[in-house]
Amino acid sequence: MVQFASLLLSNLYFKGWLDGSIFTGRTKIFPIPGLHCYSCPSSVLACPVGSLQNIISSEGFLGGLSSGRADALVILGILGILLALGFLAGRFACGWICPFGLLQDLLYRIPTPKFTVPATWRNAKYAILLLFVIYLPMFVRRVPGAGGDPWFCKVICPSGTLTAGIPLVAYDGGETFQLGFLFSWKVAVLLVILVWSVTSRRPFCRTICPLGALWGLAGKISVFGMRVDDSCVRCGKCRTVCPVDIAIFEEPNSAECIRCGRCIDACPVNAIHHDTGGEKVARGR
Amino acid sequence: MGGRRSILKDYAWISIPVVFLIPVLLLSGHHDTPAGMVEQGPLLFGRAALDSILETSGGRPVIVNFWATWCTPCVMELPHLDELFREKEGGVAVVAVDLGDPSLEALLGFREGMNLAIPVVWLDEEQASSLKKDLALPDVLPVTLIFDEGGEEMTRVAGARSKGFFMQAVDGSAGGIEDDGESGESPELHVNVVGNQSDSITIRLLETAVELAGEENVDFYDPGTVSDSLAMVELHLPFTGAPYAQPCVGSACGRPAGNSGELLEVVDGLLD
Repeated sequence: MVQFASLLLSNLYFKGWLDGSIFTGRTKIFPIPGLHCYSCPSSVLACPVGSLQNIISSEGFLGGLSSGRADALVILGILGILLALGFLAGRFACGWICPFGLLQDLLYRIPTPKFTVPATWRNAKYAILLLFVIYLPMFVRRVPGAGGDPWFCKVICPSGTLTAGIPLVAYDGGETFQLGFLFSWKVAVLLVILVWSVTSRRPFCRTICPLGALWGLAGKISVFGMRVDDSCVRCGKCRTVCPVDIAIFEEPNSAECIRCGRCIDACPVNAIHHDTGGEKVARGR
Repeated sequence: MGGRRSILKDYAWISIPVVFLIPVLLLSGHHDTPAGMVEQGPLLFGRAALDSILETSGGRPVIVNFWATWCTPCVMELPHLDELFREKEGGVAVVAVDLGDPSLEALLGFREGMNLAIPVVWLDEEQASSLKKDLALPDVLPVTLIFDEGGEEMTRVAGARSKGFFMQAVDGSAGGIEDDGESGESPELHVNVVGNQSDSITIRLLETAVELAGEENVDFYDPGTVSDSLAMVELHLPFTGAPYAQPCVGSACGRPAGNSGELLEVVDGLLD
């Protein structure tokens, strides 16, 4: 319910779907806590990952940051909002707000044979954060003298393809937009991820999402976390309901945990709890 | 063997970012290609497209040229701006804004033969007039505004200029630009009248044009004759199917007028 409500709240510009336009009001200075393209016709908030890349890729970003240029300093605001959320409760926005997480949850309900994703594949999202959100936008220049490209948006983001790329192209009939290799590539990436989401739990969140990577790292030391007490019988019921496929009793502090709380309800012995740092400190004494 | 297989398994995740690098390598492979080498620049629509070009100019000087397909000096000037854009290899943002064509068809047909690398923005009549008001543009074409790296307007010229002028304008410091447009005495009004001499509207247009500019400064073209129509092609005077008069002062032109009253109005704006 909360996920659907968030989807609705961040997509109040319904007119966009009627005429293929994009909302450009003042609320778009604020990033939505989740991966949702700001070129989606109904979106009224900004995509945090898109905004980060946009600023990082601007010409002379590093110099601007060190000399305090306003357009470079905006990044501190975006990072501040993201990290504040991350330090508060890690990846909770993935579980409660992110529309692309909701989509994957729904797809997984389709009855088909299900497969697990190897735990080591989680590492990929950190590489994607470093490479596609930070390094490539900052250093690759295709037009000399101009800024760089938001590479994550450009070659990966399936949310952007689904909610903005395809609808906008459909409205425009491909006349203004130059459809080509990149469009086909991104549609292929989207299809792979959608099909994968039917057979595995939230594969995008776990292996690709750079926002999840950032929040996951912050979540390691977040105020609100998870705690498993000694009454745990290690039955594994928590893992069967976990949308990111972790055994919370093995890694209560996991960077993967999206704080959705489904394990709390599923635990037969009530051993799993939401936790605050204060209690952790108290327990440590 | 088992150990090697487990290492492969442990590092299989690397293939995920590596796969995504494929399009990056394909697309960034041309990073040494100057922006100006593209065959034909984009054709964009609306004020939002223009604003987005200005916003993303990223600390470069920006030349915004306002033109129209019927404006002979504009059409002569565009290749100079295009050459400058290609030579500067992305160091200067240049955009040509079609501000005076009532229909998009005129621009589309015209653009086929131009091969411009600079982006062209088309504005409809409503957007064109609101932009004119916002930027306080004079009622003539071409008009060129040059913004410095910080987005401040540093030069504004009405009438066509040479490539050298624009080079100097973007290289030189703000304000210190020699205007090579019309030095010396002020240029005279000149009117091109297009129509059929047996037609009463054309005759009245001719009379008004002669009254305003003097006989020696009025040229008449009859699209029905081969020699005149060839000259019209040369001068980029449009074939509209209706008579019109196009007044110019030096290399700045007003929009084509369809009757005497309109001609008086356009000339008034031109001489202001």
